[in-house]
Amino acid sequence: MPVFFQISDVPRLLPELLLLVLALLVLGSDMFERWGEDEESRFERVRAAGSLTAIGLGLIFLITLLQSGYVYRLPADAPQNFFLTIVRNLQNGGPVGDPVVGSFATDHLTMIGRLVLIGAAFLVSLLTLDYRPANNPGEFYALILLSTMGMCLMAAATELITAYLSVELTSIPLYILAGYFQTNTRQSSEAGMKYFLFGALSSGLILYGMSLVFGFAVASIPGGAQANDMTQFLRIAQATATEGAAASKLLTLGMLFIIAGVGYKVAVIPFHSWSPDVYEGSLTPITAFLSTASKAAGFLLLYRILVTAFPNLTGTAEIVSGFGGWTSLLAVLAVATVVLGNLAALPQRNLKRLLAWSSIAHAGFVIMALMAWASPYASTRSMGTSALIYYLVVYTVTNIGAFGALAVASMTVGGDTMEHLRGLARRNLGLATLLAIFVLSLAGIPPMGGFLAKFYIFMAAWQSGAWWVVMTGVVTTMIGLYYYLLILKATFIEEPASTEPVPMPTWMNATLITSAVLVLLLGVFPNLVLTTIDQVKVVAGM
Amino acid sequence: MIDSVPLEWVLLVAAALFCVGLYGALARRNAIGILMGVELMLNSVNINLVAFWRYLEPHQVTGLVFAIFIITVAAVEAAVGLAMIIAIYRSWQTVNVDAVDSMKG
Amino acid sequence: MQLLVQVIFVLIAAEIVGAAVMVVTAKNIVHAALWLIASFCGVGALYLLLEAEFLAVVQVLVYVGAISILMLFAIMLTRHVTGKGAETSLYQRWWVGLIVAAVLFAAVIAPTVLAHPWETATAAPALPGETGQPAAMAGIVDLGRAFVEEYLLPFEIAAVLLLVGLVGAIVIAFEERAARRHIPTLAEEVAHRRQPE
Repeated sequence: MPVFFQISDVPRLLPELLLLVLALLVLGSDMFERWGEDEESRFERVRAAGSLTAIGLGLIFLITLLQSGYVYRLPADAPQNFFLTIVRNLQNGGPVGDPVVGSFATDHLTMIGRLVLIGAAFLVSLLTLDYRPANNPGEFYALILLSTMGMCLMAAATELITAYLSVELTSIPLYILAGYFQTNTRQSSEAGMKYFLFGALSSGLILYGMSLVFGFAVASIPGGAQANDMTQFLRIAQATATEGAAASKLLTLGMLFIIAGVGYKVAVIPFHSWSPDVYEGSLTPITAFLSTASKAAGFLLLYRILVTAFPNLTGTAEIVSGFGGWTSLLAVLAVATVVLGNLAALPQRNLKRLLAWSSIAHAGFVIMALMAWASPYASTRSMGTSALIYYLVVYTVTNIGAFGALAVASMTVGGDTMEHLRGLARRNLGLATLLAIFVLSLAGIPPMGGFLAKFYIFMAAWQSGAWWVVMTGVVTTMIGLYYYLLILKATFIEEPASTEPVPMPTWMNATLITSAVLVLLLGVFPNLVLTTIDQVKVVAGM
Repeated sequence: MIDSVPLEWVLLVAAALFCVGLYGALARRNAIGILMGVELMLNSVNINLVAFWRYLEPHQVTGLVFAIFIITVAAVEAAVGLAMIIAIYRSWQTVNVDAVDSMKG
Repeated sequence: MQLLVQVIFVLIAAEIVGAAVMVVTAKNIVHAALWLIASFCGVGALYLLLEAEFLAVVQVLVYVGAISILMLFAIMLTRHVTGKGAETSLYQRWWVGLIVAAVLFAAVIAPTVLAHPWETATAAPALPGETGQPAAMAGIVDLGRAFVEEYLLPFEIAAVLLLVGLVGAIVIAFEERAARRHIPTLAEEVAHRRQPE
């Protein structure tokens, strides 16, 4: 049985390969543009690279959707002709085939992850069409694409080396993008450097943890390893299943380092300190990308590592019967994150900073979904998985919309503080309504998607016995309501500084409307995606 | 030859190097100094991996392969990071991370 | 012979850690970079002792030859033009970092590593099915083979990563190239920006 990657496995990697090809195409086609010095020809270059990226990402999204087979599955008795054979080969590389090939899984988790991440990149590239990423547009969009490729690999990695490399492939383009010069060069270069330094430190932590876990796995297979696969999550799980492994301090220490390192990447308190500054200093569409896609990819990786490599160390989340395992640790992190994230958001006047703190708090809610693994029952665990993915989908769509609305406001009104938003409803009712939809969804008000997402998470965590985590979550949701309503008050009730109508850039408008429709659809008809998400149930190899 | 040195000794050297690097990354004010601390941490990881390879699975190559990938990534990270630090110096005329702190709250 | 190897190991270890301590404590950042090179060389020597010859060569080529030199360049480029670059370079609360690192080493990592029951089989164990013939230690051939077999996918990802590094460094370095015909040196640029003040 070939355990490693072979040329016949290329269809499995198709979305990633297409992203790479598109990135090279964007880089290459930029050379054939008119390289004028004047503003108009520079804008033309930006537009060309941006449209190519957006169209390409849309196509890749459709191809991935076809590959996943969620909307259309080719029947087994379909006739043999050229096109149908292509479709058949494509779908064989999807979740139906043998799920794990070497360092890479194409199960339902991967496919849903790819759809979310590529979709997020698509929306972000639409957002940037009206924005002007001043210089080097080809490189700007190519880096977005390469980072998306890294995120897709993060969602799919089932082995330590691939996981680490894909984390780096995601992060390094994002460091550069966060520092991408906007009007305020000082601020954006500061954001880039802070992100880079914290990211480098966190990858050092992840690596040290990985090396300890690897050492544990090699040492606990008697007689030494027989094949070069001791970094695979499944082999690590096998090593941890041996007698007394769960009590091994070495393994626990390695796992702690990995959780801390990934915690940095997804900005969970106490590893969050970089995120408000980086979010504030970056270009707003890039902030949207950072706060949604890179977080979602980090959570998918964290979920896969914890669930497939450390299933024997889950522990319990009940406060009385003692702590132990990663669910207890994550319970503490989740409580700290939702409490501090929501409290720190209260006094913020800059809306990008406010949303940064709010997205830290949301990371706490996502972690609560992992509490479900404290329960020994498979049904609760699969409920937790569904809740996690549903939350990630809703949160991604909502936050891209929210930051998109801010981008429009800062572009047209001239800033993104509370004062700038004052009386927005009288200047542009459409924009204000869209902003309201996203803000209400973030706050968790029905019928928006955010309400159901929080509800499912609380339900999963409650069933696993983590009632104290759920209580904190409910209380902090109430606190969070305050600052979300402040935004709405400024937008709808307060007097505008001027009554001049605010224009709405076309492509940003389209993005915002798409996101808003998705948020409402997800909230009103959750079964549209829940039936698909429920297929994840167990991760490949479990 | 190396058999006379127990594995624990090598791991302790790596752990010491890791902690020294961590201290450097936490305590330095100069961005380049922080990067140096991180490089020391990555080196300690490599020592760990090579030691595990040599003592526990000498007829396989996983540890070595992992170490080579880490060296590759460290090179990329250093290149991008140092370019970024030079960009910081352009706009701030300093590379002290205390001074480069315009956003508060 | 055993004692000799142990002595050599201890010397190398002392060199690595001692140089690393100098890296993080040296006041002058240029000295820190030079100590960094010393520490990297020590790690290379340790690889030789551990019989990972190829890795030792890579270590010297990449870390000593490329990364350290890159850092020295960056230091030279970012030193204050007026010459007061060697200012004290620690945080006010540097002792917090010291406590974190010391506690992590003394109370967490070291006891854990020492307490773990390592089953070291240094005399390479015989593979099942072979008659007493000890399996050869993996050499450079196995390493090369692993890169194109088991680790083909990570190998390709690393290639893309190098491309990202290249593109990224150029994007950052050639800032505002469209706006100017002449790309000034850093010194010119700093002088230019200082003038209005």
